[in-house]
Amino acid sequence: MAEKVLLDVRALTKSFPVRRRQDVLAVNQVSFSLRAGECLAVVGESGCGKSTLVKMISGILPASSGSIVFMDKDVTRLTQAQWRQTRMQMQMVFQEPSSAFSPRMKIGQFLCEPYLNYGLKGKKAALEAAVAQLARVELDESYLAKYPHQLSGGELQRVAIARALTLSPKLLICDEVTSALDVSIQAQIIDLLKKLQREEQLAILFICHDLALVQQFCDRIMVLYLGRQMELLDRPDLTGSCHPYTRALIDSVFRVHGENCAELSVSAERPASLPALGTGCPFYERCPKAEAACRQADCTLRALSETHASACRLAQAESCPQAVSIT
Amino acid sequence: MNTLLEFCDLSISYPKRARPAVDHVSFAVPEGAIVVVVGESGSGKSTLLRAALRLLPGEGTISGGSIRFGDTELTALSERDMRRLRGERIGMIFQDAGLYMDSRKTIRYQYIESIRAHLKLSAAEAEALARDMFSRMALTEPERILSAYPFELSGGQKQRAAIAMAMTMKPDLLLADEPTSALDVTVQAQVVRQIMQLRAQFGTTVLLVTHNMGVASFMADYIAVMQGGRLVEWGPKAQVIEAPQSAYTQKLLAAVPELVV
Repeated sequence: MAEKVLLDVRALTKSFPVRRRQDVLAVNQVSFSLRAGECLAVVGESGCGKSTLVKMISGILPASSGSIVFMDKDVTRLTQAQWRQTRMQMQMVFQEPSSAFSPRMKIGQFLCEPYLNYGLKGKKAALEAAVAQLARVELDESYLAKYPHQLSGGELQRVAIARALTLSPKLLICDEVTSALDVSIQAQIIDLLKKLQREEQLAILFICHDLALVQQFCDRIMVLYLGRQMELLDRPDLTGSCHPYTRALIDSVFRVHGENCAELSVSAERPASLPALGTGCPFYERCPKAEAACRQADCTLRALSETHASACRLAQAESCPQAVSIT
Repeated sequence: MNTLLEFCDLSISYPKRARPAVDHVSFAVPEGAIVVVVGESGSGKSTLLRAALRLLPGEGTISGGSIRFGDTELTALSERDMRRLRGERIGMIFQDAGLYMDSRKTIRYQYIESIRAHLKLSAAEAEALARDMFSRMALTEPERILSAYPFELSGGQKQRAAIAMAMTMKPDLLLADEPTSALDVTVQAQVVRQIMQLRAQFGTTVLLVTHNMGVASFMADYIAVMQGGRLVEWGPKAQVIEAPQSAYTQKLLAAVPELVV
């Protein structure tokens, strides 16, 4: 790939103290990189650390260890003033659009705020630019005078995207942006993001729990479980996935057309507490293929090919796609 | 097949809204079937379900039509008789089981209380019944779940305990409002299959509301599609999924991303 690495995350870890001498590793040794114009999906269930990961990358939470290099700067060491400049290049959109807006501000004010905040434009010029921003997300200028409660969830999410893109960032972090929306609105938002990504060489970190959506939209897929990377696929193609947890996620999807998995291979409940495993596999207790050695063995992510890395110690480079059958 | 529940020309309106929330909806739920109502937010699907329990939120009223449950006309039933029906003959589960559990009471306390509201049993007998239900539903660790407070359980465990509670009285009909929408995908996969087993196990008829077309396609014998309060499509699953007649159903199905593996 010719594009330059925009975001490089190395051995990123976040630990929260819960009891004396016992920490929960919400994100554990996660490493990945993202190039300009690329869309990486982060997939996983609740408690997998995807939100903590986003918070560390966007500077909301300090990292416990590891590095986050964004546009050649390690953002874990930035001062407040430096962060302010960096934020222009990195923006976020969240799940619930209604809670991202103050109910007392008009949409026009929201869209002008980034310009005024950074002193880039005067009030009048900012308002003109806001009209252009609205057009970019396919809304007309009548929205400028509206309040958030007058907009539907899908429209609000469009405005949230427009505001995030106001200062032409290089990276957009989307945290479950379509989860609260109806399926037809979801399709519109995805089309919009695709268009913007293509036109502006925008890199997107797309946090999502819907595998089917991710597959349709993203270039690469990263699967997290209990804070650890399980699999990293350099294609949106899930046929090559071989980690039992990824397979369990695939089996859990209900397809509208076609066959669904008849027999689930994993138990529903994950362990109530994070097992203290060191480098052992966190999926050990639920895994249908687990061997005693999985508990202690080094189950950190390793490359199987140029486009595929898996944390499963049983994964074989050449036989991988056939290693675990679908049903 | 006999009809267990029938909506006839049902309309539900709210005093301050121009459009009715449910607008002249008619369909029949056959005994022993799993009927799934799908639609987007605001389509009236949950309102319809709640009307069958006569638990409409706010000032909603049934402004026309009828709901027949067996030989009983639900819209004309006294509140006292309705209360007997709820829980005993019509069970219910909702999206977030944690919301209607008392966070200060253990599952054991709440379960026994719900059993004794309907049956004259001692606490020990009620607990035995609860344990029996847990084992039938293949809930592991019954002791831990019974002794737990709701916050100590995962969303999936709470929902499965709620299903066990709803099934204790062996209702003829189970109403389920988005029962798996708040759950993780691997847990959802399990709970959906568990609800489907209720029919084989207890012969329960299920009326379920969801926005997830995949879940609907997997579970349903019949699918009802609602839009803006109206029923736009009704039919056996195969027909609705493979050969949808209404433009709205076609649009809805086209918008669902399909997993390719």
